[in-house]
Amino acid sequence: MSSAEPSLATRGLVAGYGDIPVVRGVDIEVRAGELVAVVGPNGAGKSTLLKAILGLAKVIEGQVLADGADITRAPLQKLVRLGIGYVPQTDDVFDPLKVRENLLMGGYLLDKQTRAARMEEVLAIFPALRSRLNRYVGTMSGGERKMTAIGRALMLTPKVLVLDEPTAGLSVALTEMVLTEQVRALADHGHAVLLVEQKAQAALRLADRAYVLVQGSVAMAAPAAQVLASPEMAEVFLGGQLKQQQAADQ
Amino acid sequence: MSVLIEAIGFGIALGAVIALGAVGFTVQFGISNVLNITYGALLTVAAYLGYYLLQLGWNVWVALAVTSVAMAVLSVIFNRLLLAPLSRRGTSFVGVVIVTVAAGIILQYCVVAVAGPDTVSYGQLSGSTVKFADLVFTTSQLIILAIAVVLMVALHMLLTRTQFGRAMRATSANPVVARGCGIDTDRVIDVTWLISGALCGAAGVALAISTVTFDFTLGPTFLIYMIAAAVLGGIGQPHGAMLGGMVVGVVSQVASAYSNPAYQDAYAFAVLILMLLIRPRGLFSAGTASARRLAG
Repeated sequence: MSSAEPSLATRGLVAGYGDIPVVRGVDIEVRAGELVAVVGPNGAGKSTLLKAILGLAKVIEGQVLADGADITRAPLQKLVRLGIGYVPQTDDVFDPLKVRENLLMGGYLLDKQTRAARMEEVLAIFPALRSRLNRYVGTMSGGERKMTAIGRALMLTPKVLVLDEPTAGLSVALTEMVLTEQVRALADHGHAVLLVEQKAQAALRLADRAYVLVQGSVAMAAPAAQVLASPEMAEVFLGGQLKQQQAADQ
Repeated sequence: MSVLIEAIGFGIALGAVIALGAVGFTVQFGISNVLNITYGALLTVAAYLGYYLLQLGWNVWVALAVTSVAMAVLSVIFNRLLLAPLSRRGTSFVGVVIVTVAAGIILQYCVVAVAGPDTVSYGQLSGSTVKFADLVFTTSQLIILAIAVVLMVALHMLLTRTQFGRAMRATSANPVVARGCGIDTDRVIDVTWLISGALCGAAGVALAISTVTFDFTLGPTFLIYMIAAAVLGGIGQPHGAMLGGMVVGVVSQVASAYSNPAYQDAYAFAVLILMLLIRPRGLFSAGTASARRLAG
């Protein structure tokens, strides 16, 4: 699945906090139906890259494009109207609200009837949430909260979904479930998914393409399988993490 | 027994006034996450505004309504011109609190400069008395109680039954994700200050009616009761603030009836501390950012 213009792209993006760049000249792109992973060691600037795309960190230079249109520095509430959904790493739900209310907030821009219909569609994607609709999210497990967060982001049927470490704090089993059953499935349903993930091995197994970010710059851009197989990436850029995981798998 | 019943009656009447202010305070703190100590001085401004309208020959309840509207607008202006710019520049929570303390003191002395330091009075407005199961209320007290209950219920319905009310709670819980849902959080905050200001206006006039005479210290004196009621009820919960106001009002009046009235505040706040030891987030915890900040 590919289209003329990427659903989301950055061109020479330099971004950070104040005038200090954390992300340095990054070019990435993600297209409809594609799962693109951004991996790299701690402090590589992965989350800052996402925040810069979403108008939450300062863009010093470069551009952010959605379907070819310049959306650099656009505020988050405008991006959501352009079809870009976001699930932060932590604090990704409304704790004092019930699951139903979280989903209703996800569909805030929809009219009442469309919102109700869309909630049914989201519950079909996450059937486990149906029996928990009247539970306060603050009382739920990590996996249930993540389902609620992704479900909330899906309420507006975003063209692009930006996920910042959706498996942070989750167990191995839940990580597998979230990445396989939720994140991969989103791309298979036609969403363009940009995934930042600290658990590189798990992300690279499922992604179509990957960018390895090191010290704010793209060190490698290639199909995910190629990144996964690259001993150089495993050893040098991912701090031996991939190598250790590969050894453990064998 | 009659002393107890009489004290409970006074307590309910006082509690209604405290509740009115506490509901406004808790909504504003719960949604915008600003602990606004200027609220006390704004109560005083409202009381004096009502006083001047009465001097013009206005009906007291019309004056209360007009004062509420004026204070609603003033609150939004206060937030937009002073507190919102501070938040945008990353001023800490404590820093903003200190600014609201300073603004409150400045505003209090502005009141003195305009109205003078002497006590003033709305005059005799209590009206006839009504008896309910040995509890005696004046008409004014009953009207204030009714206003407090109606506004509390209306606010509770707004927050829990409407999409905009949910957006207010969502903004309070997680502003970034709220913006990610397309919620115009600036508008939500404006509406929150509007509601809070209107309740502050109503509470200021109600306080002036209840206390008979007052001066420029009126608002700050009662603010501590309102904060106590809001914390006791659970920050961000209008029905909690209402109940908290009643508890603070009744306990202080009953204690005053059976001991030295000078100790009534000590009893009221002892109950507050005891209840918070049992339920650290208040009677009806909302789980808002401000509630978490208070509970630690």
